[in-house]
Amino acid sequence: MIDSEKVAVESPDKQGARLIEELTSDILSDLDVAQSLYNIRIFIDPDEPVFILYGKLAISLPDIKISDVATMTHTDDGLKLDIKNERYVNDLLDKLVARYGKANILQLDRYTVLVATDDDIPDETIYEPTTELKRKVIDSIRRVAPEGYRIIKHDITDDYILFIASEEPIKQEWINQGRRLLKEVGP
Amino acid sequence: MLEPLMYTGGVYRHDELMELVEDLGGHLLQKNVMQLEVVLLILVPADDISAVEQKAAELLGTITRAPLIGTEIAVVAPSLAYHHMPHPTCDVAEYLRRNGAKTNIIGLARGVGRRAAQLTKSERGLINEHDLALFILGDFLSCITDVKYQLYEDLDVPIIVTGGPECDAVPYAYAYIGGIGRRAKGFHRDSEFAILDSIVGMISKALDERREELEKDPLSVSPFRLMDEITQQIPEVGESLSPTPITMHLDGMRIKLPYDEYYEKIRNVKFIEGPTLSDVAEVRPSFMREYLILKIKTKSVAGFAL
Repeated sequence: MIDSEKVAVESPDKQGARLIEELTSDILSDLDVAQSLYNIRIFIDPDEPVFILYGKLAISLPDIKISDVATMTHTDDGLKLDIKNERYVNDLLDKLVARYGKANILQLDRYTVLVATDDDIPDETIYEPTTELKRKVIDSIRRVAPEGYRIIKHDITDDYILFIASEEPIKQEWINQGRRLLKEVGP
Repeated sequence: MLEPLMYTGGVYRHDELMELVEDLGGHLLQKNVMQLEVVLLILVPADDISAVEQKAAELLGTITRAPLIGTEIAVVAPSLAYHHMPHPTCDVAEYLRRNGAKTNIIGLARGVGRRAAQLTKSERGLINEHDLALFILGDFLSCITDVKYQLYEDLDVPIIVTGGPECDAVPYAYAYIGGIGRRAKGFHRDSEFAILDSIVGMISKALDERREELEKDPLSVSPFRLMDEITQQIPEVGESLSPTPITMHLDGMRIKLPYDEYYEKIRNVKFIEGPTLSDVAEVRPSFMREYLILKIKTKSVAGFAL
């Protein structure tokens, strides 16, 4: 069940738990990830010291490929790309520059790019919303975790994130505790 | 007795109010012009407030009491990372400014966490230059009461601590105010403004106690008179680009001029009664940039009062 509003915080310090719960909700909604991370469980004990967060990741949009962004036609001047979706032009140009070099690419106007090649361009992925989502989620979790907890171990898949942070080297029992959370809520 | 007031109004004819303050024997501490609006921080003899209020009404401006005028307050956060900025550190500092204080936000080099939390020597010196330090701490009571006092236990200035949890008192601090802690949102509700007001109230109380202490052995010269003498005799002060070229403290001031260049000139500022500034105050380099710090000697140390 998606319950993005709910953040369950467990801590020996009840007041602290309530404050962290409020902080987490604020940060997630501020950074626009409230809809992408749900079933969040946090365990924090400043005396240990440890911060464990487990949350489920919502399914993000499919990867964007070159064919989703542009149509290709062969012309006398080379391969012509007509851009359908301007939002991903930067990612597309980055990909083209990496493959053909800057000298072989010419952007005629906002919607037209010429590539000096006679072959078809392989239909590669140019933008991965999943990667972007993971980046945003990790960024927001680092803002929730206490600043002094610089030693971090995390496990992120397409479905969930398990984030453990501490000032001390990460102990095996904390990892086990994280795994327990994972089992309780379900991967 | 001088009353601290803040005037907010238009730029047009605001000089009339400045002249009135001067004529009444008051002082102008800061003037901020923002497009067509001007904010003046002034000190006016308590008996003459009605004259100033009348003038302000004539100029369609407003006069409010700003209890922290003439003080410099350090707002200390464990670091300047997004865990503490901009809420709550900047919000609290801004609220103190609206009550007349000059605030400096200080982010510590090693203020975060439990193991490494400590002050460096320069941070300690810098915080001790202020009239009061306000520490903005986090959400866990055990951190605040058992560990973080190490940051301020050796400081000489009064300390007020704010944090998330509710608690009556914390060690080594003058007072503790809960309900702030780590925040990811601004202060909007009435209840939140009440917390900020209680911080201002607590700071005023701590500073009033310090003023009472100073009255037992009064300063050899009023800091405001000293400020006026320096401004008149060293014209470079007026040319400084800083909004407050002279920042007042309860027992002295910070002068925003390079120490090496102006040390002698400042020491030789003369009073009409005869003595020079070095007879009534100690001049030393500040931990902030190359500025100068003046600490006024008490009557018992100087042997006389002007």
